Amino acid sequence: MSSHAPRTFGDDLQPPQAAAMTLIKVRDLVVRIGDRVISSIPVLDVDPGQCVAIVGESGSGKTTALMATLGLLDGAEVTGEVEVCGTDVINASESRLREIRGARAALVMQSPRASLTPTMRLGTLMRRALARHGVKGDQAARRAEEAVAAVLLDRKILRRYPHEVSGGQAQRFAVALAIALGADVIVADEPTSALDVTVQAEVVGVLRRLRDERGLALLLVSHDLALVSTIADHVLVMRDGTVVETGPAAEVFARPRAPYTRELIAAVPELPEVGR
Amino acid sequence: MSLLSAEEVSLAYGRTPVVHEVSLAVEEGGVGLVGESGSGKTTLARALLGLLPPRSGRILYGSRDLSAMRRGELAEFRGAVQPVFQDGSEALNPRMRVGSSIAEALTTHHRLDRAARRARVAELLEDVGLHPELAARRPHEISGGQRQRAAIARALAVEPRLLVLDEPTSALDVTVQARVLDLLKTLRTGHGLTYLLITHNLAVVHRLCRTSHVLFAGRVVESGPTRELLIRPAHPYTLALRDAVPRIGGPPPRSTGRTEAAPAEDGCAFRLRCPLAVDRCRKEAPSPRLLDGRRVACHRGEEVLAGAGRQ
Repeated sequence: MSSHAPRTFGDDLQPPQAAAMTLIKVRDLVVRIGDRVISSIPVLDVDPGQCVAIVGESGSGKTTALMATLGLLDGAEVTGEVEVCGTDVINASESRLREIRGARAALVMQSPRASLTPTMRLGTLMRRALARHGVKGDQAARRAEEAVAAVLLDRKILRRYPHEVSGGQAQRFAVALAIALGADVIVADEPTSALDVTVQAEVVGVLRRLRDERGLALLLVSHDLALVSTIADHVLVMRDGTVVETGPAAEVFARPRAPYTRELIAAVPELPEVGR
Repeated sequence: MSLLSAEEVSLAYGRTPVVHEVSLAVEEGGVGLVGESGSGKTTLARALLGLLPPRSGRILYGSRDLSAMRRGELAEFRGAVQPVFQDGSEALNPRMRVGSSIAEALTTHHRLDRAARRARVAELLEDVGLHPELAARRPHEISGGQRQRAAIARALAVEPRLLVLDEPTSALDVTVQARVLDLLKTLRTGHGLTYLLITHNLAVVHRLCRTSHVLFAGRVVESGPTRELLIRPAHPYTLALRDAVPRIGGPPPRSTGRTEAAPAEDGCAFRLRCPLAVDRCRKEAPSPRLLDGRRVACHRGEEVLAGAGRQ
């Protein structure tokens, strides 16, 4: 894979003029296991109020890239430049990384309950997380309620245990937890692929609102092109560890240039044309 | 006469009722069961496979009641109606080679010598677009898409007339999903198959089934030609399911914002999520009625058909 120069379609492989506020900045990221390159990303920027999506199929390296961005890869060699909220992720200490992941850049995973302790009420879980970041008492209670409202959940949910809430509620709570801790970046790996279409629409609606109203930055990884087309501002299409096309989402979906992107778009099952 | 049908079937797990008085017929051209998780679609499929006896009502294979069938007849039924599940590995023994798993299905239902069996396995693998050499691999050594194809090959081994497909592609990548759907379309003609497809994705049903039944809280709320249901739904729930499907170049998926509301206990079960609910919906559960070429259980079906509830 590293022996041939991969061909990338897209006009923005040159780093843009650096915006002072860019929350995730990746340059020449290469992840290797042994001699094998399993994921590489030349350029990726996520600004406040922007959603960038990495799309591709299983094995394309999209999740590896996302994990590398948060400094969560063990046993792989990571080179290049990765900056999250101003911190150099590749050279940062584990404690600094944990701080970033806790309060600034939150990870939302596919399985809605994966990040929730099963024996703890959601309110307790949120209060403890806030306490670790020095927010206590009334202030913590206020923050919790405000965050839960921001993801359109009723505050009664704070009294529930993880198994007492639905998948969509658990996923929105994970987002609320990030909001309460003051995250400006949410990194999400297939956040809705375990959910029904109706619930998916709700979760995506919440993410879109947080992006538009609070200026949250989103880095989203998904195999679902149709879903990505409804939320992403910018897209990277990955295959076999390399980026084959990149550009503004509207552009990539309306005029895909890489044959592989076209193949992916053609594979989306279609509904008959309806006037809505 | 339909191949397989449900007459006023009610199902329950212990004391919990799950499916209420559902009637439907599986006919040529394919039938889709659409609904969210918890709607009872998989439970209904289990009953149609003869794996869950109805609390009341009947499941008919042709004109024969499943519960009254003799052993020989049941064996014939099990050969004719085969399930394919979401995860292909469920149908394949993890310790057996893929070829042996398929051959096992062959020996249960047919008497073939070893050479004929091997040839038949190779033929079946080719039918589902797999290289015959894959017969020597174990399930964990092949990809998810290949496993799903192998599971379909195993189901085909007994020469069924009907495949009951429960979310057959929802664990697969989009391109793999597209290829499996294409394969199912081809097999339909090649093997003279009919499908009962269970999914929450209306776009998938649209590719394979002429008729669809939409399930909410264990009741069929709308049934009719799939295309009609998609273009002009008459039930607000069908409308919600359709408009939640994300589409490239389409409007953003729409949510009613109330998917967490539990089904109502009295009146119309959907009313707590319904943007069109009125007083009557609380007082009176709607009975299914014929409306514009489909059956729908909604007091305000005419208005939904005319465009009410859309943005």
